[in-house]
Amino acid sequence: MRARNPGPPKRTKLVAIKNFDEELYRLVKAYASLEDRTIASIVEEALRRWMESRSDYEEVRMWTRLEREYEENLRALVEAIGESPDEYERGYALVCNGRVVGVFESYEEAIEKSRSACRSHGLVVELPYREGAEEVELGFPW
Amino acid sequence: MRAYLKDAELSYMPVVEAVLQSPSSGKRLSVELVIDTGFQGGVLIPLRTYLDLGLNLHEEPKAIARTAVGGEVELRVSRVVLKVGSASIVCRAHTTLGVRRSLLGREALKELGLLYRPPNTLRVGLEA
Repeated sequence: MRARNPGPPKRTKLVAIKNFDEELYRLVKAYASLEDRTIASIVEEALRRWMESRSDYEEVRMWTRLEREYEENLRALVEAIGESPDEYERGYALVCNGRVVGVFESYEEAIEKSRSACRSHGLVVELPYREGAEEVELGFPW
Repeated sequence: MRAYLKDAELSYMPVVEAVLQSPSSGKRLSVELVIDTGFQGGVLIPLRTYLDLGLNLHEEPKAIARTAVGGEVELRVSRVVLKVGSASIVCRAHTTLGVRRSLLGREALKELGLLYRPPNTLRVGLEA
């Protein structure tokens, strides 16, 4: 039997939790030892089950995926501007898959290119880029 | 085009039937938009609708929404073609978590020149 492709390594993060129930932590630690698992794997399993029980799980999952790609694309643009600011003085920058695809004369050209260049997220930014989010009045909570 | 007032329990929501279309792929969806003059943007739509139209493929930098009660919410922003009757405009499409009802905001109302006209006869229920 062939070994399955393990895929890219999972990205992990150090998380410290304040005010966690001490007795619960002792129990989890004991189970982790009994089952030869890490505490992190047990907490991950519990959190995944909890999230799957939420009615809006799919929506939140899609949102966080978009968030990650948006942040990667925005970071790539800011880095590119830092390296060669003269190239980003006017027009519309298109950023996909963590890299700047190009700078286009018009918004229409940029979004036309996004159809072929962007897989799951594309960022079109009017230049010159200004940091800080625009404010929009939303009225009452919808 | 159909525009009507819906649901007495909700004090008759002013509703407009419209078509949203991706400016890049041309993909389109029919939607029912509730007129919301408290919303500054073009349209506010559920994340599912936003993704179905592929608006995530040409997003713009995010915006911060300020609600009437002072709360702040992050909004994803893209552009969409909005068709109401024979009129067609390009406006901003916004989305965030938890949106269940699509709204038609001031940016689109102004551009389309829509006039909200409630029923002609208004009866106050105080007859003896």
